[in-house]
Amino acid sequence: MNRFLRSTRLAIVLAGSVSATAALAQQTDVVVWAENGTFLQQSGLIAKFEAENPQYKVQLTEYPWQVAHDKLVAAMAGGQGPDVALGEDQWVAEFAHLDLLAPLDDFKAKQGYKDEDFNPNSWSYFVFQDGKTYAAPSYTEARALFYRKDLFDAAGLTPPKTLDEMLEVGKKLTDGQQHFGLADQSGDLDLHFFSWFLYANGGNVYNDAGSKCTLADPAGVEALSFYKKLYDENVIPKDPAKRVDTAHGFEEGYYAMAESGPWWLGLIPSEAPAINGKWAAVPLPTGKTPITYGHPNSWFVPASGKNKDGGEAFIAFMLEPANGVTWFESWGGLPPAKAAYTQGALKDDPNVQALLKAAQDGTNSVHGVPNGQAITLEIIKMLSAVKDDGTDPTEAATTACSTIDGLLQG
Amino acid sequence: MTAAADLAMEHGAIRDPAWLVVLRYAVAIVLCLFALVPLYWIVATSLKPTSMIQDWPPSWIPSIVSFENYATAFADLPIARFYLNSAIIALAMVASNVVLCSIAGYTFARKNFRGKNVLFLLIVGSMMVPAAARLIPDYVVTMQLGMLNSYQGIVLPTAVTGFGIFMMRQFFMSLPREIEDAARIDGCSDWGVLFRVVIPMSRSAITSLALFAMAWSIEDVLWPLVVISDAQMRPLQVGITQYLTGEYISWGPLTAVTVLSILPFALVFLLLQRYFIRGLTAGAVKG
Amino acid sequence: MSSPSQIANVSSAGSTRKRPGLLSSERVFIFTTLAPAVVLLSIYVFFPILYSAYLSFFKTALFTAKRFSGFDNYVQVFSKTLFWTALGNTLVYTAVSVVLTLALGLLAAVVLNGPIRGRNAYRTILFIPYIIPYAAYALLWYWLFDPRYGLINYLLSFVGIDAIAWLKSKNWVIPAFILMGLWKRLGFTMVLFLAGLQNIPAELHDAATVDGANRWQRFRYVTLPVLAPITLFSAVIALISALQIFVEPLVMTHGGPGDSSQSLGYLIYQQGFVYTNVGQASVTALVLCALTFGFTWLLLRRFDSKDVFG
Repeated sequence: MNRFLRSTRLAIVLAGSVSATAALAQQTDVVVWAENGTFLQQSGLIAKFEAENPQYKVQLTEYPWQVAHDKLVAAMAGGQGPDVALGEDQWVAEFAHLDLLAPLDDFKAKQGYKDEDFNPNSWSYFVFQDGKTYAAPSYTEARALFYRKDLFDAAGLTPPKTLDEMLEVGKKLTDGQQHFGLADQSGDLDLHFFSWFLYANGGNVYNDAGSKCTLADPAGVEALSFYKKLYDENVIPKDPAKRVDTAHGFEEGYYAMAESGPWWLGLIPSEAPAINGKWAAVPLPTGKTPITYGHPNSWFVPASGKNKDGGEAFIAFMLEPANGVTWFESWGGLPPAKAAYTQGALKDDPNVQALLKAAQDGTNSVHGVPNGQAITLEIIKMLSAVKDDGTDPTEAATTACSTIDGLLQG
Repeated sequence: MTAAADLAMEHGAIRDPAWLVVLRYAVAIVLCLFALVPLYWIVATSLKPTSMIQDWPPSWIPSIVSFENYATAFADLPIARFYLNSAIIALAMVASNVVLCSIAGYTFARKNFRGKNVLFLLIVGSMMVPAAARLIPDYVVTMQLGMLNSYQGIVLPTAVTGFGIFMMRQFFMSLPREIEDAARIDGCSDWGVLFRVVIPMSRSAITSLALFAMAWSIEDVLWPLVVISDAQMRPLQVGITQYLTGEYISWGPLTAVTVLSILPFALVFLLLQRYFIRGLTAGAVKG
Repeated sequence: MSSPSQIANVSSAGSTRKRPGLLSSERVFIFTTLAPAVVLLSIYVFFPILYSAYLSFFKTALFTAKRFSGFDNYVQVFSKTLFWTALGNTLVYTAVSVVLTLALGLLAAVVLNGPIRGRNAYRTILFIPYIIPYAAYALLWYWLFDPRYGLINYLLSFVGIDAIAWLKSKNWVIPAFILMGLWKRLGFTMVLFLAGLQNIPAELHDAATVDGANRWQRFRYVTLPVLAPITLFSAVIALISALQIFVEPLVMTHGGPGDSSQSLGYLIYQQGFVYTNVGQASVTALVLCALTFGFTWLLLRRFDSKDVFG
């Protein structure tokens, strides 16, 4: 690191013995980091893994999504990361770019995983610019449109299949005061929201080589204009003082539609039992293409991991279709392995099959480029400029691209 | 000190006119409502069953008082272990700040040596280094010292503070010097004077510093989160983040853990506030 | 204060003569009492800021210097509007919140120093927000600020005020931070002022009363001047903590909407962790540090530093 620190370290006599004991203990420890709400412990999977692999003992630590990225950066940079971690899709390329991850190509070959046995956009999603695979798919984050059946029935409407229909239906369900067609999203969620329109319209954040921002291309500007229109038409509240909490707004019927992920399937019945039977989920409405927003999230093994074999064993365990089903049942992450959908609960659940169809029709997200996290921040700022400052979409996209172009260079 | 004594002391023989009494109560009540409404909301939410937390408009008094959120928190988290962690961290933080800031503050108050003023300015200046700027270097240092995942890793960066040294120095400067001189003539060494004479006279200032140090130990979440990777080593306030799960926040258990983490400290404050305030009097303002 | 310390020197020299030995030597005493503080502060406070100063001249890879780049990081940081927005937001937040915290803290202290029933309870209630852990504090207010389901707008609706967008609005997000910061730090400032108020000798008030001063005049000419040093001290502490604001944008807004709640403290964090550009984060850290030094110095210069620094 540097001389000052080295000499300080020498002064601490204990340091050596502490790390020595730590190394001994970790021969059988598998350090797993995951995010809050992913229920690895509660699902019983950790216990099952330990039972099947008696040579390993799992040390699980959970972090809030908000700080998991930063904690991982700090820890991996210091060689103190976990043996395996659950993370967002866009982190993979960012960490790979910083040389923090161990490639998983050998693991994939050894285990005999074939791309066709997984949902589209699984392993390939984590191939970085150097051609190596830096993560395994953990769960597929496909999104759905949740709508209030009672409100739709009362207005004599059916759930929209295309974005244009969604705009029209939304207008009818809005009074601009106490009822709005579609829920507002804020922060990171706003990015997911806009990405859906962008990919559905055939656009992308950057070109195929990941070298240049393409938000200001006609498809991007059109998607941004559509996003703006939802606000201008008050389908989503134009007045920020009317943008209320998504989940509670949906529960109250303040919002007639909301975009969210499969975990709502489990959360609504437990958190908002009052609206049981009054809501349903449909695949996200599409535009020119059937592609929507979605992505696999990742399992990755830090380059500095002390027990890479243990980390890989844990990934292999989690990728088994039956374990994927168990995991889904405890919190709602869609298993990446196709075989999971032919068994048990997932086979008969229409909501799950709707989400699976969305995943199979194709999804996209910011991935495979350096600075993914920073790029998404720029997109969120662009969206704020368009909806709150009335900035012209072309201008906003051009401004965003001028920054994103730099970020893509790494 | 009784209210009557205060009255006599602060306002001489004059009785307060009614309007002033009313105004005084009005201001006190408005300010306390400002503090209390969010606090009340935390406590009330922690005692509501899940189905009622979502009620709109909010119910001020839970019609059913339920401890289910506390049960959930105890089931999800090793609360007893977290309490132990919090207690160890708080005690270490209090002990180190009290001892180290007191002895340094005393030397700044009573001793002369070359470079004293510059050194003192630097120590006051240490309060001004932004926490965000310290985060990464402090992490790197802690790692190099092999102190990640340890109590000392959490405590050491704030084991001594510019604020504490500054405060104790101000206090010691206000003490009458004659007693110390007398002790010296009786043969006390510097250490003897400090520990047998000065420290016993400073109980109130030390209580203040101790309570501040305890407050710091419970307030910060980010540093313990960054330093600790072993969930068993987390202090109670980090446990709160367990209920931060993105779109849905589990308000019931979250508020329950919040109440659990501030309750002991609030009691300590209530019990010690007399010392607390008198200590600061002498510390921050020269007598 | 200079003459008594000479006495101290003389007398401790005397003790050295009486009890010779390593530990009783005054030099050893000075060294031993200061060493732990100096060592710890050097490692955890001075080293970080010096290391930042060093890294600010380098292109960095994660947390280490890669190659010397002169003033490149400075140019990069200062040429972005984001930096200036963050600076502006930080200054506005600091100015308003320091003034409000001091004014209301003083008011609370004056009232709760007077004859009032249940004083201890009032004081405790006002102080508890100071010990609420930051994570709970930020989440709590996030919820309280919800335009529809939050308690703040609900209460405002009783006095006929329309829903305010708070964190969702570029104009209201800083006032929202000011309000919640006030809530958290009011009790701390009150405690500092309470301490100061107890220092006012009763005779001063009596004398002023005899001279025919009314209540306001007594407050203005007796109480306030005695409170000057503690006011300055409180102002410095409030200033330092306000300038460093970063938990609120970190947990609640990510600096949004747009850049409207970006602060220098949060920018340091973002540059370090999100953009993994520690060189640029160091530049921002140095600026924030210099600002804090500068303002503190101005404050002390303007209001007679002797009262605080003796």
